[in-house]
Amino acid sequence: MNPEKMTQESGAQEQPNSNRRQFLGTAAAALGGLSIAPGVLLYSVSHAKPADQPVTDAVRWGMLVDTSKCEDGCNDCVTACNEEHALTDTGRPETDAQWIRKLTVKDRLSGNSKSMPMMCQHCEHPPCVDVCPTGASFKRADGIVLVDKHICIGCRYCMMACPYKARSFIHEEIKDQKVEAPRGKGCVESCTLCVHKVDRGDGTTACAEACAKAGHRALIFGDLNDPNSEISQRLKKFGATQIRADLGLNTGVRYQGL
Amino acid sequence: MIRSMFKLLPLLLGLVFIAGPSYAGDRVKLPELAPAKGDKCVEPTDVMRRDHMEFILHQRDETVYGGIRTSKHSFAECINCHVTPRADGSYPRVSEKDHFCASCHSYASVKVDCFSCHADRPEKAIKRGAHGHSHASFKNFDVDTAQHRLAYKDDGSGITAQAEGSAQ
Amino acid sequence: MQNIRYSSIDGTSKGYYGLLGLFGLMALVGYLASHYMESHGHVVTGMTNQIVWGTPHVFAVFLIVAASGALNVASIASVFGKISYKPLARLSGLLSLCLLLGGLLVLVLDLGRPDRLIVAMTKYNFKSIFAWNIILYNGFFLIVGVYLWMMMERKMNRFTKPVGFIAFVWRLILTTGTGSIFGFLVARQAYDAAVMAPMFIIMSFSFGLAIFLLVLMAAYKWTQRPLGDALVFRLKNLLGVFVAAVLYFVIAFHLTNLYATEHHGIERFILMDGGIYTQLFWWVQILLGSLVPLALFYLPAFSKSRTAAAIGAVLVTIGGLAQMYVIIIGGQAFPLELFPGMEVSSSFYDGVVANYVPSMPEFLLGLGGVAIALAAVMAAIKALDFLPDSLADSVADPHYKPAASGSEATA
Repeated sequence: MNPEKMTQESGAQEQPNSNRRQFLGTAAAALGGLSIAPGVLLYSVSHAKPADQPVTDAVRWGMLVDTSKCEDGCNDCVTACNEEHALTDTGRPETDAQWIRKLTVKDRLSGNSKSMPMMCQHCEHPPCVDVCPTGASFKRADGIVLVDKHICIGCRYCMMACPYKARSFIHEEIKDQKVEAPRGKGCVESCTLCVHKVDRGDGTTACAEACAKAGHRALIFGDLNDPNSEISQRLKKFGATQIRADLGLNTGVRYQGL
Repeated sequence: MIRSMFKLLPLLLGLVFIAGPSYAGDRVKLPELAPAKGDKCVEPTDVMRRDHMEFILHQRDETVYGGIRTSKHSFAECINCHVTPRADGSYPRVSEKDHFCASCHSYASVKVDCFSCHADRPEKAIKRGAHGHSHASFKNFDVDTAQHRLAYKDDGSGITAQAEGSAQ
Repeated sequence: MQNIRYSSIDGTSKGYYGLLGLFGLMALVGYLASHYMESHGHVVTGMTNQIVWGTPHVFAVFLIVAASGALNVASIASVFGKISYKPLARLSGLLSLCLLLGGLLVLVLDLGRPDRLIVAMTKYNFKSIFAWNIILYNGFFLIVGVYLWMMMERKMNRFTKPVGFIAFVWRLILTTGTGSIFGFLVARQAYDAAVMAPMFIIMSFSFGLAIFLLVLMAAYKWTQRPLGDALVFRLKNLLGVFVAAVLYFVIAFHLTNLYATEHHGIERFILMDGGIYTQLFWWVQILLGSLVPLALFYLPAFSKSRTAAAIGAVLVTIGGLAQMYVIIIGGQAFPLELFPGMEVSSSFYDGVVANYVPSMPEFLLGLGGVAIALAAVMAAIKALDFLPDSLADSVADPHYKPAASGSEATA
């Protein structure tokens, strides 16, 4: 098998739609980047949109996963996600939803093993959106791939199409959902990149927060369109890999250290 | 479908309100709406009675597609104000007749689809465990899946996959 | 060849009502099963986040594929002008509509939100082959409905050929769409192949004709109408060609995969190590569903036996269901290749063969779809003039020579 298939280096030049939005990105960056403490930047400031205005494609949200910092056995990102969205454990793991999961990837030849989280990759060209018959699977202007559960008919074709096994079907009735994470029987769902936190201007996700809290900082959330964001800077400096880059999906989640 | 049924609601209610009192004795009792927080709703009562679903629907698409989460017509705020605790401190569920939405909707026999996905009571009414999802399954996954794991052998010719106990 | 007279069947016998009642009961049970699945959620089925399409899809896709194939007999008559198939054209059109109805009902009732069917019918994402299929299925009902009208209304007969041509082209596109549901799944090892579309077309020829032959033989036997040997043997010989063609596509598909090292994992899974999927593939799809029918159709010992023809058609049907099972469920059971060449494990069944055991409600729902299709055929042939009074060779065979043919089968 050819490992090159998924590990095509994709530098920052392939950054999504950067040209078209360079101006906006730069303008926003000039406003943002306020430092509240040494080394801690309030990137979110540059992206805070007025509450009554819709999101635009001036930003493209993404995530960087630094596998060298991701600790084997640590499950904090998963726990945080489950808590944030009230994903409960029914004791039936085959049908329970998992928005984010820890993968162990082992090289058969060398025995080298790596740990990393896997979730919706928020593709620029998402196969789930292509195949959805009703248009319930969609990509928001700011690059977040979501399911409009109001028009999802539960056909599961998106689950067949997703290369990352990122989606879950809700197999049973759910009560007492979180206000920000409505979810119910018969629809498909997946990682929302904590869209409610993004809209609130938190500038991070539950998983990235938990990872930082655990002292790993293996997950960096940010704006891929903003050349000054931490994620863009690190991508530019160190490069990163897309999982199944051969499919040409231009994922919003990138991996370092694979 | 649902929307068109919603449109019938004010008509039905209107008829009931006009004709209601004089027939009250031999008709189904008018719904008793649960008390809400605050003095008044975000729109006049008669407007809300007729068009609440339009406001909710409009805001729904703005929120889902545009990320607009203003509170005026937000569904979450409907629940926060209108689903209030009973005397004993418990909150009604939508399956119970004293739930604000259910009281009227069951009376008018109009199905609400909102609560298959949305919580039917305010967040503060919901007790959650410290960790909603400890993921026992994660800890056990080696045991769980070992029996139908693909065992790969490196024999130089590529992959050999052995499926033990695949679907029977 | 004489003028063909069509008439509705009596449909007053105990046997007729008994069979109709049985199918009705199966349909009811199927509906109750779907209601059970809807009210409890799919947790009561064998389907999981790994095997997202289960037994209902096996039945549904089989019926939909067979539906377009059942129309072939009519197409051969009106588009390709083969006069000997003309008396069968009405039944062919009817059967195709009924099979499609049964298949679609199963598909719809297995949705997570079947109550939102109206959404599926009103909101379309035109980049989705699934959305196109919804349009193709609806169009098929309309076009074949008009086609039947052209055939059955004497004044409209002259339009039979052009409408038949449109129906033929439409059904080819429809089955291309069905095959492409799988062919377009770029990320899955078992699918993602352009050959899926033509393979589904040839599968439809085979499954559709097998069911057509069985329905035809049953209808004529139970109504005591004459059905000539020549006609039956002509149909089963044609079915044999289709069965062989399916086999060819299956071989070509697997050979292509076997050449590419990238696909060795999935090929090894289906052909050697896949447990139930391997068993189904070799024993049911290839041996029972393809090789045995070919022997029954063509070996001199059986080639003049109507019983052998009927058994062959039954086996083709069973083999077809097995083939669908292997494609749909076997294809999902094999894990997605997230990191080709690496060993992947997680709490979400990455890198392992997914477990799937069909549940009773799923199976009953699938059977319910079959029952609806057959019950609809029974009701229609009682209501309208679909069946020729006689399909005896002396009436329906253009090559009939009284001297050459000794006895005329009426059974």
